[in-house]
Amino acid sequence: MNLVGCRQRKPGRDRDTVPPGSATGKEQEQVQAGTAVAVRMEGICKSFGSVRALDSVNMDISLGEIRALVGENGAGKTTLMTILYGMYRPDAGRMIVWGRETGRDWSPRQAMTARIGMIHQHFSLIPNHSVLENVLMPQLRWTHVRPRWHHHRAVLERLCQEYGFSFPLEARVESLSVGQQQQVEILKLLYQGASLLILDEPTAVLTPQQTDRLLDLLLRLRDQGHSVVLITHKLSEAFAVADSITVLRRGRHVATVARRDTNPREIAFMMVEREWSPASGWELRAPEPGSLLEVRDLVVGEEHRRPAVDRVSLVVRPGEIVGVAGVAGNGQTELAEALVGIRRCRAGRILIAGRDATSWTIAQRLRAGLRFIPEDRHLHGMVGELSLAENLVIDRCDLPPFSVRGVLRHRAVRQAAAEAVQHYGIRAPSPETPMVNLSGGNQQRAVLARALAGSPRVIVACQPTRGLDFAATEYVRAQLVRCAARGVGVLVVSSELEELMQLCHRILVIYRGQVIGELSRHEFDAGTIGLLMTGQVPDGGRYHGQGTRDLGQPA
Amino acid sequence: MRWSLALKKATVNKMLRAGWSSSATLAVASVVLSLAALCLCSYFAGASPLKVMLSLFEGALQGRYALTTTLSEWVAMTLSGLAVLIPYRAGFFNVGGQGQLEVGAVAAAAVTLSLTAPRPLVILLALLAAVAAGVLAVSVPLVLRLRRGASEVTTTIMMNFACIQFMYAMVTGPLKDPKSWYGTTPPVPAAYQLPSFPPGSGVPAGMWVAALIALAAWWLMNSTVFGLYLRAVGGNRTAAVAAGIPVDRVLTGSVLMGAALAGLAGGLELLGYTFRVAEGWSKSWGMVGIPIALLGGNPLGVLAVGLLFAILETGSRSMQALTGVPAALIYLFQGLPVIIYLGLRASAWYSRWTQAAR
Repeated sequence: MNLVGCRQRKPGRDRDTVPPGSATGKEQEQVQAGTAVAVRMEGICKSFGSVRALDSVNMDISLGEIRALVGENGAGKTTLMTILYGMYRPDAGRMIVWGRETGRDWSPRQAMTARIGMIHQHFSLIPNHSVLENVLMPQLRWTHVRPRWHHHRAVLERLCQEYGFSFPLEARVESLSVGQQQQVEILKLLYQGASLLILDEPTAVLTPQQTDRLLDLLLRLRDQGHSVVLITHKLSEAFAVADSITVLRRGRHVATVARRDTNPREIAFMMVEREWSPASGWELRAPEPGSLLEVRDLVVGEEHRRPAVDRVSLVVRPGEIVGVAGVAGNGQTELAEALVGIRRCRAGRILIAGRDATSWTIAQRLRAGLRFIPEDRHLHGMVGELSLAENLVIDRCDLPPFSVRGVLRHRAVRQAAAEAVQHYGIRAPSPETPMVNLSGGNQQRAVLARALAGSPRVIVACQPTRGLDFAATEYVRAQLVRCAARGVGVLVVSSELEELMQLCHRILVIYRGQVIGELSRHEFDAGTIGLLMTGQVPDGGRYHGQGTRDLGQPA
Repeated sequence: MRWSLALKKATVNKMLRAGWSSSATLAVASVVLSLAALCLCSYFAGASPLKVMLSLFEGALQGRYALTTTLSEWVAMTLSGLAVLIPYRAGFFNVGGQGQLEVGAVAAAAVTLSLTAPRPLVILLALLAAVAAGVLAVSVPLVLRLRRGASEVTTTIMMNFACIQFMYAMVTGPLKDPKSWYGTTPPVPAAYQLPSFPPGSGVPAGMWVAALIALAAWWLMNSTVFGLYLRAVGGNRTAAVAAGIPVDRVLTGSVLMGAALAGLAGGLELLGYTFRVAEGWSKSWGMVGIPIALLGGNPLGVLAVGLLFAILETGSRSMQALTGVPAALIYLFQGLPVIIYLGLRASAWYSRWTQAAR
């Protein structure tokens, strides 16, 4: 009977004699006889529509190395690797995997057979299946009426032990933490016998501690002879583990350098084409007294469940930028959505400019000057089918000058749009262009333009620069700082510590729905904040930096 | 000089591409392709395609009676197209047009048969009753959607059955014509029938009503705050919520408007065309409204596509009589353009064109 794990056509199957996943047999000889190059990509080109994502990129990946693939958003890192993994077909170029050229029909399936595995930014796990089922699934066929679960379990338990994974195989994936889910993904690849692992931004969702653990694991994998490609835009990680670093910029290969021959500054320079100035650089004005946004003991979440936001209190003063730091999923999104009125609060009070806004509708809060830059602009920020102009005024088109007694004044709308286009540098063929046809950066500029239009008093910005390139990121941050300088209160929720440390007067750290730490600007320290983000408070209770003890507490 | 010429050419090219990629072009292309398919089918049925097309259009447009019939069909098709389109734009797929139309007609019949009053008053009351009945018929799916999040596609389809059975119960029970051997209401008294306008021309007054409503709907969708809200709610509900739009109110408004138009279609057909509600009295106007709305894409488009569908519907009879090609072939045409339209839109070829037009 053809049982799982016994199929012949997959190399690297026999786990008793060969360490899992390493290159085996004839192919290994071939590779080692040559230049020890596992994968060679030559002249890879790929366009999406009129956008050139990759422009004749060359890349060699050696056996047993960790390669960091770095570049800004949209540099083509992920595209290049998805081509190697067979999900996209290159427009031009060729790939040689284990010394053999890939055919036209190169696919993820073939890549897996060739022991290439990829972990995407969004995990491809089935949440309500167990770890065991998830790991075995790619290899199960419909003919396997009764898979030999106990046999596979034994093999997997050995693997888990070897790599120090500590989750039970029967656990449902949805019950695991994000870090553990990632380990499940890695286990899946190892079990398939992958010896080239591609990880796409693996640390984006991890705490600093989890990140360290992952990086350690990568080093161990390398020592066992695996090759690893680490797609990242965090240079610290690249320098922590990589043997060599490949830099892409706007779809072109800039350089591949050994880690010991370079330094972060040089790589950053290659990435952005200009001198990179590390955090700071902003001149923040001191906030004024008073409070524009005040939250008292706010509780958000469904009844009879652990609340997503648990008795949070905070104050945003005029001209102050307050950051909310935390690992994704600790309640910061819910907090922001409750503030703007998308989510109901279970208890607590929200005060906007001193007035109780807890029971106000979204529209009322908008009128009071509360603006929202959503985390996911496609979900909350824009209507793709409507034109740019319509998107820019949609939240206030019921007011003059945009409409009179319910009838739109097209001229006023067009004029406002033209002003926003000019002022915020939105690049669009015309204000009538449907929003979906703009690029991501321009869409975000439009979302920003709408949030800052009129006279905002408080801005709640969630991940305001997510998915933006260097220039757009700088632009958005500068706009927020400028708003604060005009006396607007800003609450920034971001998963990028660097961003918060650059922008904020104060940072609140949120963990499991509670604010467990608060630091003012002169005390910012990535180590402390990272520790707080994992729920570890240095001296127990709520952590306060010196001199902030009374700032965060409402009067 | 040469430079400016080149620029012009580029602009023209861009416009051509943008034209290609617009949904109106796709709709026209799919209608043309469907007509071609119709020709092909009639060829295989042993008739000359040219003759089939000629008989189709002559049968619908030649002669006063044919023209009146076509225009009456147009009324029902336009209104039921709008009944689908307006809620659809707000993200509510009203598949219950047929049921709303039939109860609308029953309500109008009940009013005309039981009231004695001046003609304009009775006609007005009958039409209002039709509108009210349509709104009533959609209120159940609407409330279920708003309160419980039930899929309106399922509930409106189910309401169709309920409405049609209600119509049967009425025409075989309380409203049955005692002189008739099958389930039907008595004919609408001649005094309360809809006149033609201009008088004596044979053009049904309902046509003007429908055309005015289509124009008004177009204006509503494009030039009012409500219209903008409606498109925003349909385009991205969560973003509309975040922008402070009263989403539920907009959705309710659009759905009630759509159902009202479906009910009105029933009333107008009864008073201006069929004069009786009976077992099997109605064609599937309400259902044909769905492809009309999808192909039309906007109220004016609905007006145009509705006319085409009305022509085909009326012309199919003379086509069968003159060429022997079964009239049922026309029903093929009611579905085919939509399938071709969706197919074209989903094709890689189309997405390449739109990307190029960006």
